[in-house]
Amino acid sequence: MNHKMHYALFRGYAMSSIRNRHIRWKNMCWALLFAGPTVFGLYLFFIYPMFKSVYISLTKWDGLSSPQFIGIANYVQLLSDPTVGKELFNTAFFIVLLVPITVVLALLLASAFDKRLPGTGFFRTVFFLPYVMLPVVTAQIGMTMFNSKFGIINQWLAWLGVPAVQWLTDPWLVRSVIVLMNLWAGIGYYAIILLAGLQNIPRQYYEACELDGASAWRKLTNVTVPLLTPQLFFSVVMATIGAFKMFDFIFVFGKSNLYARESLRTMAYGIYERGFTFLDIGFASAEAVVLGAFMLIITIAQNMSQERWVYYS
Amino acid sequence: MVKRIRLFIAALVMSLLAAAGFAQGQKSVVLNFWYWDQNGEEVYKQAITEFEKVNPNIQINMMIIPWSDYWTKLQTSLPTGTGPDVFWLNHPNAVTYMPTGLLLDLEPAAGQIHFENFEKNFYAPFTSNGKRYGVPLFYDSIVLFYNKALFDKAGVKYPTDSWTWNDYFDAAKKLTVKKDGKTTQYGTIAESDPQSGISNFIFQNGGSIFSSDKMKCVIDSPENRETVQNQLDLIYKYGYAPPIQEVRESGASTMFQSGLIAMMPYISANLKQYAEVLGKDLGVAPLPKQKQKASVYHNLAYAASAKTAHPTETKAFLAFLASKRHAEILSKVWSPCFKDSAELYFKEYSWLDTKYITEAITYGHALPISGKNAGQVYTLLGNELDKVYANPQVGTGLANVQSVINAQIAK
Amino acid sequence: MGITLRKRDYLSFFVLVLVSLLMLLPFAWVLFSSFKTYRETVQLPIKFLPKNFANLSNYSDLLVRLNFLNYYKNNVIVALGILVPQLFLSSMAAYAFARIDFPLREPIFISLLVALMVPMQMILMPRYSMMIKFGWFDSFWAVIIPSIPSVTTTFFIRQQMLSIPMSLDESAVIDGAGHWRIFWQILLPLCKGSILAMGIMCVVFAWNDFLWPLIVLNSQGKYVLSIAVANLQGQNLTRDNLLLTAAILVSFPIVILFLSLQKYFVEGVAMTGLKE
Repeated sequence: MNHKMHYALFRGYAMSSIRNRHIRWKNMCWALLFAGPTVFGLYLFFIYPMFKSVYISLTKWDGLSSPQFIGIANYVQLLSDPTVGKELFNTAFFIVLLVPITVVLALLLASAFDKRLPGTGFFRTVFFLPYVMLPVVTAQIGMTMFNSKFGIINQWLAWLGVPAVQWLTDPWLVRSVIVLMNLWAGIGYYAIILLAGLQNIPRQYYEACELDGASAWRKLTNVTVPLLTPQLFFSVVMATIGAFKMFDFIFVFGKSNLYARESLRTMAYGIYERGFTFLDIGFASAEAVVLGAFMLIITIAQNMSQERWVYYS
Repeated sequence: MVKRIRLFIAALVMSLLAAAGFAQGQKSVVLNFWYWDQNGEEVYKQAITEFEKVNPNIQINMMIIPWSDYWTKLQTSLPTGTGPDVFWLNHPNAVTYMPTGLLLDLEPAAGQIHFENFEKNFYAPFTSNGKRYGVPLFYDSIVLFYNKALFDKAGVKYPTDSWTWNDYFDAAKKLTVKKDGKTTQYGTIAESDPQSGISNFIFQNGGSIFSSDKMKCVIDSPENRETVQNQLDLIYKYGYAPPIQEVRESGASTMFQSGLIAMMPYISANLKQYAEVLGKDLGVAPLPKQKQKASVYHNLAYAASAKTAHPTETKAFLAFLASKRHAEILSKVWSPCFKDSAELYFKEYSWLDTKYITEAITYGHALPISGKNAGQVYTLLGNELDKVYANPQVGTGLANVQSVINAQIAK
Repeated sequence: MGITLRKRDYLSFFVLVLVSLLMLLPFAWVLFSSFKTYRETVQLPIKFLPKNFANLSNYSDLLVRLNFLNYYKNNVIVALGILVPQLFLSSMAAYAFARIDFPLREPIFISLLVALMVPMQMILMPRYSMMIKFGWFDSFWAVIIPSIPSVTTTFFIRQQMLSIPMSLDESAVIDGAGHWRIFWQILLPLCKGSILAMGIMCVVFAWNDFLWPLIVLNSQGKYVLSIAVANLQGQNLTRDNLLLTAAILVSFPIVILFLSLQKYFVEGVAMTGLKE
């Protein structure tokens, strides 16, 4: 193979530049070798089962007997069900609140972690710890700490003269508690992610900035953020998808506490409840399809916005 | 770096090969037995050892599955035939599973199992179209737990089996302690839970939740409204019981075990843990009566999979599970359904009047369930009653519950 | 290049210490609770400190009677089994999506994100039937193999690779390198940070995964730690002292692993000889 063709192989984005059939074929073979196992695995174990789910959404099924085909009746019911409306609202609420705050805080944290000071390893571990803990236990801890009569938080507030706050029963307060807990458990994850990205930013850029007398904030906005956009994009997409799927804490909070459950229920929780507690798997699948559609639309929109703000070298 | 990767892969392959060894076939017949209570591990190990000694060609593979996902796992695996051969079943799920044909009909094995050793009340909920599908296991009833130390401190006489609602309310009044406008001790609790709470009082007042054919919800009746209002008054009018939100937040059992509640109608199954914490301060009494005595009882049963690959061995195992010997082993942890075996369980708690737990069966009402989709209706009932308890007045609360439940039954 | 600490460094350090202490508070409570008896954990108001710090009965209970030592072994098998193939295959896939030009590359990539949008509960039953069909049912294969392909890992490494300048590739091409050599010798070493981060995340995921292993395993001996912990939560009552001790036992190895990997988080890379 001559150098020209070889070079053309690595052209990168512009597909139209590769007109040579031979090279296209070669590329496809390489792509199959490199990406084949992962793509095939994902399709087989995740996407193909989802198709079955889509079919189930058109039936009435309790998981034990045979499914009965009922067409789009589930979807029609979805549109008129007030509980689903509440779930939609809560899902949107958590996304809008969690995604920006998580990413921004994680960014600040990551830049604090990007120092070779002796204690940094300890700090990174402290913030990463909540992510490692089993969600069930984290939720238990949360419920105990925010208990309105005996929890630590209210005990401290009592010292400051604040009357007992109904953290777990007031609708908006319990939502804030969930946001706080998700932040507590999630920031470490994104901070480590962004830290990995920070490691590949050449020191020269920072040093050049310092020579110009730039402040820490300037360095952050002019050097760090632009060069970190690939990882920031990853974080935004993943945080959004994660917020869409939020389930664990809500499940534990709501298990024995109806009042918390009703204020917190998201679509992911509704899917679980409809499918496994009420054995209305058809309806649950329909809700899952709708949730998936929302996620897909938002992810595609985010993907299209890449050109505007993500900077790859 | 490459060397390390090679090392990893080698370790991985070796451990996987070792693990794959687990999946090899056995010479004898293996039965899968599933249940959800970790507390039973020791007794089942013993029971299985004894069974396997007598039946050397049968091996029982026991699995404890977390309660939170027991039904999910059962639902996923039972229809495929790869699930359990014998497993625990409760009342609401029995109603769900019996019509599906996934449960093994135990009538042909009735000769081995000897259902006559159990009260009819225990296997009736596991019967459909005259066929029995469950071997009764252990039961619990609702009794009045109380804290003797708190009673002594307030100078109140312990509950007796002739207590009426008035006696109950009186005691609750004397046992509620307020300090600086805050209640530091409640006399009792008012629970909306359909098993341990309101249902008992509804039955005591002569009302009912479901029609006798179990297909309709009839909870909105004058007697029931009176009953529920009485319970709500305990919370809102008199303050003898904590607000339901507080109970949900902190947990009724935790509050009782901390001495924050003086007496509490609750499930007898919690006896062991309460005795562990309160020791000699724990007391057991029957629930107070109104127009009649009533208590909600519930029992579990062993069911078998219709798709089992080894029906003969399964039936042999069930026969063992229905035997007196098995009840004796079980009595270390639970109160068995086998006639006259419950005393063995209670022997350990001789300072408690545990006879009331067994007695409660005589005037017991089965867990209130209804409709073809009983499990779902039961959950919904709990949810709706929770909503009623959030308000000081019954109002249209019960009417709402009735319409929601009937809508669910109709599905 | 020495380390010069300025005033604002002291301030941010102080804030960091304060926030860290707050973050550690819940863990302190969990740790102290692991020394409490059941009786102590059901006392309201909640006491922070245990009566007897030397009470190790919870630990011995879990490790021996409740078989946690065996479950540790299972967790390691599952974690390693997923980690090594996943890092390998996902970085290869990341390379394909970052460097190889093939038809429908972007749409296929987005379709992979759909794999993340699928709630696990919805795909339980079809996956379960698949495991039976493949003969993996009740083996570690069933737990490991479906979790090997990962969108997250692929996505993240791809992002990293996209920000590495093509000029590096091009100079390698001129030397006559093919896709494999460029991947293995040029790109992969530059992605060490991302691979490390994703490796850690993969281990945490595999370590804590609950629902899928529960559904697909049929022998208690093969249980993973998350299932054993869930078993500590009874229908009516939970022994909180055991549950919180289990939390410590389960997260402890991961924390040690994370701490020991800290030295690999190097501060920045000096990339010399590159002119844009």
